Amino acid sequence: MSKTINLKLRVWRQASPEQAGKFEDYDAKGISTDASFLEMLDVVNDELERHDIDPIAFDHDCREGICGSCGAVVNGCAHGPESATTLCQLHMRKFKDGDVVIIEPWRANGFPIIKDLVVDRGAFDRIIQAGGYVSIRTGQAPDAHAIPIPKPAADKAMDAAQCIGCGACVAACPNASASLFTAAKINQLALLPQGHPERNRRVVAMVEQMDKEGFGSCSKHYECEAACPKEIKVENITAMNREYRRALIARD
Amino acid sequence: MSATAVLPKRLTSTVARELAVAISGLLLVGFIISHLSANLLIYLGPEYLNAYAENMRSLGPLLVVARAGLLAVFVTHIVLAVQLAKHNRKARSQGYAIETRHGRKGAATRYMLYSGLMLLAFILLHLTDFTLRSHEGPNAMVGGEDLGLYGLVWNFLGNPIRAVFYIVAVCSLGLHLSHAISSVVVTLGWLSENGTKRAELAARAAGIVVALGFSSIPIYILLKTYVLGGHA
Ligand code: HEM
Ligand code: FES
Repeated sequence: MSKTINLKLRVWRQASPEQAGKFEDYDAKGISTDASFLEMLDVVNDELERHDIDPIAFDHDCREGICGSCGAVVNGCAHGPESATTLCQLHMRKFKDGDVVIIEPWRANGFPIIKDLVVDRGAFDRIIQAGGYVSIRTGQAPDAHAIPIPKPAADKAMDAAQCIGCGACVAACPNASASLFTAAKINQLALLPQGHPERNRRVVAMVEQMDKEGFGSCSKHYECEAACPKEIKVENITAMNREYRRALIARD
Repeated sequence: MSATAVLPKRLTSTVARELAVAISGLLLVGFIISHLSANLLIYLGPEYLNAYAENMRSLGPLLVVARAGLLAVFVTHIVLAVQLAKHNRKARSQGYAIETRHGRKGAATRYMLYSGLMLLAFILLHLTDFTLRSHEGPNAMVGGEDLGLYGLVWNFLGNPIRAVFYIVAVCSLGLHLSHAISSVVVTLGWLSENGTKRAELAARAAGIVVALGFSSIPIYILLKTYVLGGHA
C-alpha cells in the first residue's frame, strides 16, 4: 500500500565550482513511499521551479542501478542508508514522516563540485586511461573458448567488473581514497590471461594517476566496501597491492 | 620532497609508501615480540634479567649495528606513516555535515595516528628511563642491595604515576597492533576472502596479548611493592 510522507530536506547548494556552497532547507511534501529518492528530488524540483528557484542539480541516467551516474551522501551515508543500493534504487519507504534528510555531494578533492550535487568524476576516466584496458592492435576477436580461464578466476573477475564507477567508495572513505575503484579495475584484468602481458605497467600507471588526482591512500577502514552498491570486496585492494609488489620487482 | 624526487616514481607512490610502512611495522612487531619475551624474564628474578642484559651489552659493535637498524626501521615507519596521514587528510578539504561509519573496523583503525604518536612519546621516555641510564648505583638499589637493571626497573615502575603511564602506553601499543596486524596482510597483498576477516580476529587477540603481557610487569611490581611486599 502506498502512502505519502513529508520530509525536511537540507540540501547542499553550490552554483558553480568557484562559488562557495551552503545548505538550504526545503520541504518535500506528499512524497509517495513508492517513489525512488531521485523521484522525490524530481517532485521537489517541480515545486522549486514553480517558485522560480533554481532546481537542485543532480546526476542520473539509467535510474535502475547499473550506470553509476547517480549518487549523493544522504545523512552521512553514500547512496543513502540502504546497503548495496544506488541512490536511484533507494526507496522513500526507508524514510519516516517528518525525517530531516541532509543531502550532500561526494566530497573529495579528486571530485570537484560542478553544481549542487553534481561532481566531476573525470579523475576516474583518467585512471582508466592510464592503464585500465587490454591493448589489442590487430586481428579479429578470437574464439571465446580459445583461451582457457579457470572458473574461480572468471568469477572473481566478474565480481570486480561489477564496479559501475559511481564514486561511492571515494565518498565514503575517510581518506577520500580511490583505492577500491582502482583496484577493481586493475583486478578485473589481472585475473584474466588477457590482462597478464600488461599487468606490471598497468598497476604502476593506474596507481600513479590515482595519486596525481589527489585521492588519499588506503588505511583499511573498509568504509568503501560498506558503501559500494555493487558490493566490491576490499580483497581487490589486497590484489592491487600484490600486483604492485610484483611490479616493483619486475623489469618492465 | 627533494629527497624523494630522485627516486623512481614507482617507489614513491602512496601504495609503495604503505608497503614501506607495513614492512617496517612488521619488523617492529618482531622487535616487540622479542622485547616482550625478554622482559618476562623479570618473573624469574634479578639474575635472569640482568644476565640477559649483560649478554646484550657484551655484543659490543653488533649491538650498535642492531640498534642503528632498529632506529632506521622506527624512523622509516614513523616518517612515512605521518606523511601518509597528512596526505590523506588533505584529500578532503571540505568534510561532511554528518560523519557516519558503516564499515566493520573500529576505534583502533580510526586512531592509528594517535596510538602511534602515544608510542613515540612513550619510547622517548622509556629510553631515558632504562636504556640511557646507568644500570647500577643509587637508582638500582632495592632494600640496600644493588640489583642492577632489575633494581632500576623495580624502582621506576614502583612509582605509581610512571607505572600508570607505562600501562596506558602498552595499551595503546595493543590498540595499534589490533589494527596493524590485520592491515599488513592487505598492504602486503597476502590473504584474500575469509583470510582478511580471520586476520582481524588474530590481530585483536595479538593486541590483547601484547597489552596484557607488557602491563603485567608494572602491575606485578606495584602489587609487590604496595600490597605483598618484597621482590621477585
Ligand atoms: C612509534 C611511533 C609510531 C607511530 C607514529 C606509528 C604510526 C602508524 C600509523 C599512522 C599507521 C597507519 C598507516 C596507514 O595505514 O596509513 C601505522 C601502521 C602500522 N604500525 Fe605503527 N606507529 C608507531 C609505532 C609502531 C610500533 C612500535 C609497531 C610495532 C610494534 C607498529 C606497527 C605497525 C604496523 C604493523 C602497521 C600496519 C601497516 C599497514 O597498514 O599495513 N607501529 N603506524
Ligand atoms: S542513475 Fe544509473 S545507477 Fe543510478
